[in-house]
Parts: sequence; structure tokens; C-alpha cells
Amino acid sequence: MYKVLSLIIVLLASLPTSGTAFTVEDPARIHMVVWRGCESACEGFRRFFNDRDLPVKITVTNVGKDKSKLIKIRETLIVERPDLVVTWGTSVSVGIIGTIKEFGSNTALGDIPVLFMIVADPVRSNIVESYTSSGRDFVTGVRNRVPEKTQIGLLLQYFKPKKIGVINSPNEDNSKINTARLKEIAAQEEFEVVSLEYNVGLDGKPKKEEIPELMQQLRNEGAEAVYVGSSSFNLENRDLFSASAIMQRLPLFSAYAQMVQESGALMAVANAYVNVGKLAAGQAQRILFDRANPIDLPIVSLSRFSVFINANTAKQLELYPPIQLINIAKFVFGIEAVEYN
Amino acid sequence: MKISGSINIEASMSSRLFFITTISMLAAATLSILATVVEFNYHLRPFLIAKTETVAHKVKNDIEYALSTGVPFSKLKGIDEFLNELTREHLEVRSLVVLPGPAELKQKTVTEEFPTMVSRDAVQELRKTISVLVGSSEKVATINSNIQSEGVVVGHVSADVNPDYIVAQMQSVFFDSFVILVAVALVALQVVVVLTSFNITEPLRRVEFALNQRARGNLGFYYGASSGGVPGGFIEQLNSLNDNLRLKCKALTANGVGSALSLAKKYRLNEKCEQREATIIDARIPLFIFCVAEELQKSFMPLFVAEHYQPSDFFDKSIMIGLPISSFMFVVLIATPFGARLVDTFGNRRLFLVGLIPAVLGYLGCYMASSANEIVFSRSLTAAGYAVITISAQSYIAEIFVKENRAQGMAIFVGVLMAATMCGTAIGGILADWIGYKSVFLVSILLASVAGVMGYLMLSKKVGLVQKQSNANKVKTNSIGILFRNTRFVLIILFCAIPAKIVLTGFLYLFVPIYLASLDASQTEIGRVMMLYSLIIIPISPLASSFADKLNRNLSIVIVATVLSGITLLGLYQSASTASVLLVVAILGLVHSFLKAPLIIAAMEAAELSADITRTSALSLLRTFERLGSVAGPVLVAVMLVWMDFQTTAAILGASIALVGLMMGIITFATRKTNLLST
Repeated sequence: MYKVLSLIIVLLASLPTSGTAFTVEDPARIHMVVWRGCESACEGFRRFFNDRDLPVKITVTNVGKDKSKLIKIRETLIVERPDLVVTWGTSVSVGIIGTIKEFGSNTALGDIPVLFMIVADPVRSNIVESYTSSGRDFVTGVRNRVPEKTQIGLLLQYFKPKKIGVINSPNEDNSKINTARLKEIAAQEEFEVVSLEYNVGLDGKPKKEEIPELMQQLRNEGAEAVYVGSSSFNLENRDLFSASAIMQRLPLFSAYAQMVQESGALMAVANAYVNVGKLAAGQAQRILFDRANPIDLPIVSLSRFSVFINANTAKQLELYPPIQLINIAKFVFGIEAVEYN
Repeated sequence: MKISGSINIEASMSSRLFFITTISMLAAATLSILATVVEFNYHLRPFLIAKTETVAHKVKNDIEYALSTGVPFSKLKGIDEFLNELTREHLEVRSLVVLPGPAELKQKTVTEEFPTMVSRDAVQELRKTISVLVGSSEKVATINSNIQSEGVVVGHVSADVNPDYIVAQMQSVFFDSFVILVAVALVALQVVVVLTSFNITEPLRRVEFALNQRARGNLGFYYGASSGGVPGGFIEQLNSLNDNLRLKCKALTANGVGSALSLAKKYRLNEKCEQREATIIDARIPLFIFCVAEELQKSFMPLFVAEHYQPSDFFDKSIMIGLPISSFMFVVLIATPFGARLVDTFGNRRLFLVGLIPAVLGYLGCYMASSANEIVFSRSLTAAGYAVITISAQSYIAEIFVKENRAQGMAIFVGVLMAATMCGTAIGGILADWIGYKSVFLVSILLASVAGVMGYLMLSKKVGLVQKQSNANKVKTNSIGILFRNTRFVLIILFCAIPAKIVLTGFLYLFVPIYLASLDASQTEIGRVMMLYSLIIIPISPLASSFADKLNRNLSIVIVATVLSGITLLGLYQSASTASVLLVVAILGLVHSFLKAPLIIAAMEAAELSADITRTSALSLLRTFERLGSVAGPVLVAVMLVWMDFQTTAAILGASIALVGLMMGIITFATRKTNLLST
């Protein structure tokens, strides 16, 4: 009799916790931590739930590009215990949940499920083990980078430079790996890569004031275009970076849509953030409503991508895209490259 | 019991009927082809204009969008590539150009060339259509569309309708209609033959038989009175006259007149004259329908195998594509002797129906196949059925005809097979284009079932079971030994008969479809090209045999034809086009027409050089080795294609066959000289 009872208890315990199903009165609480306000990915995430009338309550905390706030936000989250934490960007994700090196298969948030998005390279950032599974019990996320081969293929469709320049920060391993990949593609596509590096200041950070002169050096070494594949530093300094490129009459190609949308890069091949946000929301739905374990979910990516072209930059450089690209691209108008002297 | 006399009636009846049928079929065919093509031409044109307009509009819209992003008209990039791609994609458009400035006004009026339904003039349309068919297209329609940027016309798109596309489409429709009509004509002829036989020649034959018997003094009971109609009534009249005589005779005998009995015996008053009811017509329609069902796959079998090839299949893909043809031929080779034996046991009718079972299962297997292995297996299954059915039909016909007319019977048998090959191959190609490869096998199942029903209804139950003594067909083992010592016979088999079959199965059945597919020919076109071979052989073959008879130099004709068939294949070297394949197939058909009958006669003549050899065993041996050639052909060509490209394969195959023919010629010439010297 005792055995039967214990079996029933075990069976009952293993049943899905249908008692905690979310309702309009008791919605799933999602806490989203974003780097620079609720931009398109954040909007896409919200819209996904709105469109489907799913009972969720989304709270957004804006870090405002201030990493020092992250520790405090982490503590608040541990107390608050939301049903899901969503992190936006590499810095926020690392700051909130910590790396595998620090926490192994756990996170700084304990057993609170976490979903990251807009992380350029989650494996190299040590947030996840692989793209098939995060390797961490309560972590999953989405990818948003387009393969380099696809990016360069579209660049070459725009125009065919004999030399492509890159400027990397010595602190960023991602950038080095990306440049190595670019060189492999260069061998197949018959162009050369000119690779330069920033000097590191006393604070251990690259010197952003070097951007204009490095850009000139690229030009002097025969580069006909500049490519930013994976560099947080270049992304952060996108205004100066793109303005310097234009000053040297070098078209700037990037893997970051922001560099076209917010600065004067000529073209970017990237996923539209709104779609990345929707993809992340799909993962969130599976965790919250289908009771999927985050560790069981792969780090998914979109099968499609967008081409962004800055019409003003094209005009400034007098380097217009071919009609084939015009037909597929999203055009950005009205962003003038900021003048730096 | 001879039916040779009545064949004359049938011959004169049929030749006239055939003539009338052919003329009326041709007239109907011509009219319906013309009607089809004219209609098509008329309706195709507005469609083409609309399509070209759509393409021009797309270009205009895309360029206007590009201009709206800030690209100046003069700085547009990639336009040529963009337009080329569109022209490649839309075959209806011949050329697309983007030019600066507005379009000239005069170019805009394009529709006036195309009359509306009301003003349509049939003769004018026909003239137009014919001029399109022969490729002399009229003025090209041009569509212009202005490109605007901020309300100002900066350039224009100019698109020309592609006249070659119209010609190609029209010719395709023309040939499709032609093929279908040829096929329908062949079917119609078969039906006419059967109907004529049932309704006219057969009753007349019975009357003729009765009269012949009467003329010979046989006043017994003639068969055929029950067949009705005037001839039936006539025979009944004769029978009742004879009945009267019989009754009178009986009365006289009863009255004790002894001579009455001898009179009754002399005039066979009490005898019933029976003639076998079965005729060749019985087997004709079921055999024809079954063969059409079987031939439907011919034009696409290698391509069908290629489509379903799996890495786990027996051999490499290039070998696998030839294997279904070889395995089919191989199974036919093996199953035929068994089939012949089964005829004695089961009778022709039952065997015909039994043969349908593996045949239909094979089609079903092909329909459901998901790998090349499964296709090979299914085709082998069908082959077993095919062997049994053809041997059953062949022996049915052979049995009905008395010995001296058996050759004519066989000619009918071969004629039915050839007609079916032509119909089946061409229709199969069209069907494959319409409904896909696999569904064609469903059509085969349907046709085979119809053949089964027809066979069940039409074939006589009696035939095949009665005669048990027909063991002449069996080749005695010792005759093989004797014939193998006959150099000339062996040479004919090795150097002429086998190469001819290698060309047929390896080149025509395997090489032609895959080569044409590699040249982007449609399935319909492939079917048409392959059909041409039979289309030429059917009418030319009888002419060629009578020519050979007159010349009476069968072996020389065979040698020349073998060499020429090789040279024909060389024609494909360095000319890669559907037209050149068509030409080669046509010439091959012509050359093989001259090879067909003389080859048999030459082999028989050679066999006669050995004592104790019957023609039957020589013929049967020839057939067996020919089938070996059929098995080897596809495998040989497939192996060659692994190592070489299409054109080299054709050239080497052609050169080898020509060489073999030449060797045969030299040997024959040399031995003849020696023989002359020794005599």
C-alpha cells in the first residue's frame, strides 16, 4: 500500500504543472533588460505576444549603456523572481547571467530561466557551449549574425574591390577570428585583405582617436572598401568610424544594421532586429507556455536576412548599388555622416 | 482445310479498305492539325503580347524604384545583367533594352497586327499560321514603357516579343497533334481490320468455303449458317438443300435402295464440315493494346531511373540507367522458351491472361518505386509477363495459319508489334510531359487491363491445347553444335545480328533519351525522335525486302547496312543538337529497314550450308543471339558513358560497328573467292 501511494505521489509530481498555467489575471512575468532602450528587437518581442493575445506582462529595464548598473539589476531580479529574464546584447547578457567560466551550467540568477538576444557571438562570449544547446540548465537564446560568406558575396555584388581593409581592436578575439574568415574568403574570391590594429592605451582600451589616421593608412595601402564583421569597439564608435571612412572615400560594409541605420556605413547584411525580437519571443513562448526546458532548446537563428543600404552615403561616395541589390535592399534615408574634424 | 484461297478476298478487300481508311484518316488528320494550329496561333499571340508587356512593366517599375532611392538614371548599374536574366527567364521576350529619353510614338502601336475576333479571316489566319510554322515570322511586336523620375520621363524600356518562341510553340503543337493523330490512325486501322474481318471477310470466307466444298462434291453440312446476315442465310439455304438430299437419300435407303448409301457416302451427305472458328483477328487487338501499354515507358525509362537513383543502388548511376532495359531483355531471353512450353500446357488464351499478372505487377512496382533497384526488379517482372504474352500471341497466330501462310501470319504479328512500338513510344513521351513519369505506369496498368478483357473475350479457348506435336520450335542441342561449326552463320550472328541489336537497345533505347535530355529536349520531343525509327521502318521495311528479293544478294545488303549503321552513328560526332539526333535516328531507321528481312534470309541461307539443320532451329538460334545483343547493348553503352562523353561514345560505337561490318565484308569476299577458286 505504501508503495502504491508513493508511486501515485511520484506520478502526480511528474505531471506538468498545469496548476500554474498563465491567465490574463495571472500573466507570465517577463523582465527584459536592454542596453539602449526598447528598440526594434525589444518592440518585435513585445509585438509577438500582443498579436497572439498571450497573457504576459513585460517589464523593461534600460541599462542606458551603463555597465555599472548591471550588478544592481541582477540583485533586483533575484529578489523579484520573474518567470523569464530576457537580456539584450552581449554586455547585458554577460553582466546579468555571467559566463560559463564563472558559473558553469548555472547562472548568477539561479533557477530563473534566461533568454538572450542580439549577442553577436554567444559561443565566443562564453555565454553558451554550442548552438545546439546552451549547456546551461536555465539559459537559451537566439543568434542574429548572417554567415560571412553571404555578407561578402553581397558586398562583391555591390562592387568588386581589389583590397578590403579591416581595423581590429587587439582586445577582441571575435574580430581576429572574423578577419581570419575574411582572408579565407578573399583567397576564393580573389581580393586581398589589409588588416590594421588599434594601439591600446594605458587603460588597456583601444584608442578611438586613432580611427581617422588608421582609415587613412588603409587608403594609403590600397584598400578600396572597409569591412566591420565583428567588433564591438567599431560598433560603439560607429559615427566616427563611418565618417572617417567617408572622408577617405572608402565605402563601409558592416555586419551591424545600426552602422547603416544610425551612422553612415554604406551597406550592412544583417537580420532586421524586429525579426530577431520575434524569433526570441517564439523561444520565450516555448519556455513559458509549452514548459520547454531552456537547456533543451537550440540557439536558433533566422533563415533570412536583410540588406541595408544608406542612400545618402551612396550619393556622397557616388557609389550606387546595382539594380539587383536595390530590388532586395532596405534603404535608409536621411542619416548624414557626422562630420569629425 | 485451307484458308489460302480466301486470303485473296481478304487481301483485295483489305487493300481497298486500307486505302480508303488511310485517305480519310489523312484528310481528317490534316484538317484537325490545321484547325488546332490555327486556333493555337490565334490565341497564343495576345497572351505573348500581354506577357511581354508584364515583363516590360516589371523593368520599368524596378528602375523607377531604383531612381527613387536616389540613383541617377545615368548611374544605374547591373542593368544589362538584370535584363539578360529576365530574357533568359521569359522565353516569350526576345530582347529587352533600357534607353535614355522617351519612347518614339510610332513604336507604341503594336496591337494592330493582331485582329480581333470579329475581323478574323480564316484564310488569312491559316496563311499566317503556315508562315509561322515554317519559321518565317512576321513583324515583331515591340512594347515600350516610359520610365519616370519625379514626374519627368528619363528613359524607356523597349521589349520585343520573341518570334522564335511562337515558332517553337507552334511546331511543338503541330508535332504533338501529328503524333497523336498517327497513333490514333494506327489504332483506327487495327479496329478497321478487325471489323472488316468480323463483318465482311470472315462471312465471305465461310461462303467461299461452302461453295468450294460444294464444287468438290461435298454435299454435307457447311458451318457458318448461324452467323446471320446474307452470307449466313445463303449457307443456310445450301444446308437446307443438302438436308433435302439427305432426307431423300435416307428415305431411299429405308426403301432398300442400296446405291443410295454409296451416293450418300460419295457426296459425304452426313458429314459436317467444320472449320476452326478462331482467326488471327482474335489476337490482334489484345496484343496491340498490351504492346502499347508496354511501350509507353520507352522514351523515358533511362531518365526515370536517373530520377530515382539512390546511392544504395546496385551500381553506379550511369550503369543503373541502362540496367532496366538490359534486365528486361535478359528476362525475355530466359522466359521465352518457358513460355513456349507453357502454351502447350495452358493454352494460348489462359497464358495470355496469366502473363498479364506479372506485367501489371511490374507496372505497379514502377509506379511505387523509390530506387533504381526497385525499377530494375519491376521491369524484370513485366518482362516475364511480356515474354509469356508475346509468345502466346505469336503461337496463336502461328497455329491459325497453315504452314505455307505462316510467314504472312508472322508479318502481321511483327506489324502489330511495330505499330504498337510507334504509338506507345510517342504517346508515352507526351503523357510523361503531361502527367509525369510515374503516372504513365498507371496508364499502362489500365491499358494492360483492357488488353486482358479483350483477350478474355476474343481469344479462342481451343487454340493451343489441341496441337501437342509442335516441338519443331525447340532447338535441339546438337543443332547448336552443328551451327556453331558453320562459320558463315556464326559470322552473321556475331558481326551483323548482334551489332544491329546493340544499336537498337544501346543506342536508340538508352543513349538517345539521355542524350536528348542533356540537350534540354522535352520528354515529348524525345518520344517523337524515338518514334521516327518505327515510323520509317514500318513503311520502308516491306519495300526494302522486296528490293532485296529482286537483288537476291541478301548477305551483301546485310553487310552494307551494318557498315552504314555504324557510319550513321559517327554523324553525332561534334554536332550536339536535337536536329542531328533526329537525323541520325531517321537514317538508322532507313538502314535498319534494309537490314531486317535480308538478315533473316542470309542467316537461313548460311544455315542451309550445314546438313541436318531445320530452318526453325536456325531461326530460333538467331533470335536467341539477337536477344543477347539486346541485353548487352544498354550495358555496353552505359559503361562507355562512364568513361566518355556522349559524342565520343556515339563515335566509337559507330566506328566499331562499321569496322565489324567491314571485316565481315572482307571475310565474305575472301571466302567466296576461295570457294570460286576451289570449284
